[in-house]
Amino acid sequence: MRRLSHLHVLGVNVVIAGAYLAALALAVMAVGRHVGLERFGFLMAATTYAFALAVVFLTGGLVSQIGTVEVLGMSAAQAAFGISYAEGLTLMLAFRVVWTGTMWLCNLPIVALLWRA
Amino acid sequence: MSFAEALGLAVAYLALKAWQLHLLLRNLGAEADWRRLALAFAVGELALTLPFGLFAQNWVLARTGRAPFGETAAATVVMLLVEIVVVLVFLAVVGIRGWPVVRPAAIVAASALCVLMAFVLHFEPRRAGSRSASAGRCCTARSRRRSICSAA
Repeated sequence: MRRLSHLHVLGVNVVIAGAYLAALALAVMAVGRHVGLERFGFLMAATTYAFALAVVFLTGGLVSQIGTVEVLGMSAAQAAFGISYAEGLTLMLAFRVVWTGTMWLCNLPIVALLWRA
Repeated sequence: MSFAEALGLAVAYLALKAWQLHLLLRNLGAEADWRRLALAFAVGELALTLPFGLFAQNWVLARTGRAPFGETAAATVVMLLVEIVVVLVFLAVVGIRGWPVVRPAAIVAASALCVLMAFVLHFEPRRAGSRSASAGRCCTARSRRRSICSAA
């Protein structure tokens, strides 16, 4: 573990984590606009999803992400930006479907190709 | 959101995460070839929504090569801790308007996690093997100074 404790290692990882979390927030924003939230910007998307992720992470992976992220995101969107529960839930569920679908689409062929090899 | 947009963002997200795992494994000296890395990473991402599914990638790395589970799990733990800290720092800066408690809570949680991370990264468990190894090192060092290992 000590080998990972160097500042430059952690610094690079913080930058990479920031970049891929930004891609995630961009996807939330795009889904939000597609489900009818016209003024749903990057900051709104990032805040909504960050709160849900933070709570799920802090529970240490003991609870399943499915359902928990949706309810937390819906509540955060309502508290922070006044988005109704119905719109928030639509956003989070639509994002779950789109993101899970693309994850399976990207990863399943890799597993299928490389598993036997 | 078009299909191409979703796929593009997903590919960028996955590529960055895979690169992060590759860099961490390289730093640990447990570097995997691209096939093993891709397989382990893909399985890990598919199992991500399950409790402890995050560690599926370490299980695959252990099964397909000589990298011990515990060693590669260190990389996964660091990935997770860094991700949580980034998210918490973001929440500490931005906050949630309707919930003023989120900002101080995020600051406290981020600080606690940084302390935990410092502890975890500097913690070196004592193992039987390492004890004998360290005894050997100690003996070698002493032998240079006091020549007490000559009998051994």
